[in-house]
Amino acid sequence: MVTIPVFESLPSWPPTIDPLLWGGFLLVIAAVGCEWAGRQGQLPRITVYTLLGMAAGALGILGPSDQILVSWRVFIDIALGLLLFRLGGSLRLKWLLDNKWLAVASLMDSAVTAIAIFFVLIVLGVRVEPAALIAAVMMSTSPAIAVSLVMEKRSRGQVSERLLMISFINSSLAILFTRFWLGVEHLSQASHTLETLLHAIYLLSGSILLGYCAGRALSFLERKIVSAGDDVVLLLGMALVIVYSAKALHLSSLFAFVVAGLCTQTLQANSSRRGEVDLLRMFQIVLFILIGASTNWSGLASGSALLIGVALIGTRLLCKMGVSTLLAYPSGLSIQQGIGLGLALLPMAEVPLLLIQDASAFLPQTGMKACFGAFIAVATFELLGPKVALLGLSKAGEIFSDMDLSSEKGSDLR
Amino acid sequence: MTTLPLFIPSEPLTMGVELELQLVNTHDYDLVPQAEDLLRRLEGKQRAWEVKPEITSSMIEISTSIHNNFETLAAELREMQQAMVEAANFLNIGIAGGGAHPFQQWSDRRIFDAPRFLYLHELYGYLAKQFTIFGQHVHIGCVDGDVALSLLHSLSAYVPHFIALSASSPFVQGEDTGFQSARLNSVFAFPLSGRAPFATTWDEFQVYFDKMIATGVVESMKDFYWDIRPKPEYGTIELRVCDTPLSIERAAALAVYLQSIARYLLVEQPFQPEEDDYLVYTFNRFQACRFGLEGIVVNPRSKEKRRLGDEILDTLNKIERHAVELKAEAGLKHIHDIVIQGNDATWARKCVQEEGLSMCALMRESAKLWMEP
Repeated sequence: MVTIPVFESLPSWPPTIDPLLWGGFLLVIAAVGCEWAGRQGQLPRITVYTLLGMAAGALGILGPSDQILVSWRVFIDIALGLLLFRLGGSLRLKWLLDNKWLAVASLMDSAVTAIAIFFVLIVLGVRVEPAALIAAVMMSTSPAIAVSLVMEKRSRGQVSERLLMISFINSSLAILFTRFWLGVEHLSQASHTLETLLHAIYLLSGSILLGYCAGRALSFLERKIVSAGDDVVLLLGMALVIVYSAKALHLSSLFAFVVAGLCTQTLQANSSRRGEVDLLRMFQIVLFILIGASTNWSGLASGSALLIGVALIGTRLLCKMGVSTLLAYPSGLSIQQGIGLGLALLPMAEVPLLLIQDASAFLPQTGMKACFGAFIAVATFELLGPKVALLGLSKAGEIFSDMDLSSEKGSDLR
Repeated sequence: MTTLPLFIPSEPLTMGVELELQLVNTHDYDLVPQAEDLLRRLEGKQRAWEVKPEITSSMIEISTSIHNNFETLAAELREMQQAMVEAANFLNIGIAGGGAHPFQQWSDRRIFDAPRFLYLHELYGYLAKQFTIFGQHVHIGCVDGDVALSLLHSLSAYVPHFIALSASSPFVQGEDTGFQSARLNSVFAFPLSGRAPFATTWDEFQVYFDKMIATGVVESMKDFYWDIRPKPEYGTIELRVCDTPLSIERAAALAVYLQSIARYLLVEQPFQPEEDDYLVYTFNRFQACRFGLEGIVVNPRSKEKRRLGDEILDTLNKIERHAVELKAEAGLKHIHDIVIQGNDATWARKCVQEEGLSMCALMRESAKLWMEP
């Protein structure tokens, strides 16, 4: 038999496709899709990315959807981290002291939501441990969606500022309570109580220290050495350092990024901030496609999970809207702004998914039904939340679309 | 047809000050449209002083009550400042002085929802949003309209003084304009800006006003954007050329400098105003805007050219005894210090050029000067 060597250099059929190829196609479709959605459907960009991700997840082109949060975790951590860094840079924590009612509203937003969800789940027959975990994660407002919407629409005002602050607080509390939940689960299974407690202290303080060092270094380098234009490269480099340092040291990169943002004095003029915005936009696409692709639809097949999902949606909606509206006036908002804030606080996406993923090893099989219900609620708030949040910001008068002067009657002064 | 309001007599040489202030956020220090939120927070907290909105929502105007001297004026300004700072901190807003925001984009501005401002936006187009500039207006009480007009024309010679002393707007849209006060370039774009017509009695002015009303070009005195303008309802003349200073003390000092010059003019009557005095008005005004205290101004009568800073020092000597009568010495000392040490525009340039601060950092420092005096 004669073999013809040249055919050995040709690819096999079907060719082996690296998932990154599909990633490239997804980015192209994301760019085109946004333009179409913006013109036709008035959808926020992140909803387009999420829908794209959900389609990709359903088709399995980025790998099995239940493995997305594991196999693409580094990309997710960098993307989310950069958005949290931006969030940290937008916060003035002293505001919580200057406006104590804001601090009360922020804590009540988390507490009321978590307690209400916990009791609803108990009434629906969910065990205490998974109920506590789900209640903790569902108090969060997606900081990634909050930052993305404020950036995309350039919304400015009290509701936008409070959206960023409250999403930071309720997401931080969700992370802390989940770590505490994990710690309790460790305690119940491990024999070294002291080790477990020390680990929790190590995790928190180490993450804060990592973020502080990264933030101060970034601030110093931007101010003294790096010129405008290269600061974006510096930011990306620092993001990789934070993610991989946190991984090596078993710390929380999410906390570290927020702390780095808080510490950074990146007071750059508009021109260099545009570079940062472009970088963030790119990673925003990556994040929401991956989060969309990881959506778990198995709960839809279960009536009880569906019931739990609907109950969680209703409870969270009532709690977020109720607290914001009731505490609007004492905290310095009008009622309209309070309602707008309640709507703006509804989106939920990456935080509960990542936290449940991290806690999944400790969830009993019987808790998974409740988690499928939670996934339904998360998917709903992920898809519909951004549009509703934009409605809230718009009703509060914080998204401004310029009106061209309709009158050319310059000579008529009456 | 609208008629010129009657000039209501007021106590001579009393003062009132209006300051237009910038509202900024506390992370990148860009302007924020939160005047309505701040006004809501300040409801019921105002006393003799007032807080009002301005044409765009990133501006707020504070107005003092009527004062005779530097001390009570400065005290009320400090009281207003404290109330404003408390409200601003509650809402996470920064407040700053300065004649113009160094990097804001006019197209980002939002017109405050009030009939007058919406009308101005409709009429003037983008100029209305570009009018997001921040000035200090000082009212001086006059006994009647004739005295008011005579004083107005006499004070015109001193307009460059106030421009140079108060100048605090060297940067626009992130760039150094080369001007000490770029703010006044925005004012000059309006068709009814510049100087008042040379009417020396209230009756003459009435004739002029009636003609302007008949043409349909104006509806009221508010439509004139002159550098000094009569305010008949208050019984004052209003100097409108100052940039908002970065500190309360400077605002009070500028007011008593004007008060002292007014007394000097009324008591000593060193010259009678003539229309030819305005031959050099626009030139001198430009020199002050562009070069500040280093500007060269021309005396229209002696034709002498002089450095503006020296002219101010000379004026301080001439008005010294009037300042003593008005208990304005502390204010005039502050004016003297500005001439020697430099104005707020010089400070801003030093921050950027010598200390390497970014525009955002400059605004942060400006806000600190106002909020943490």
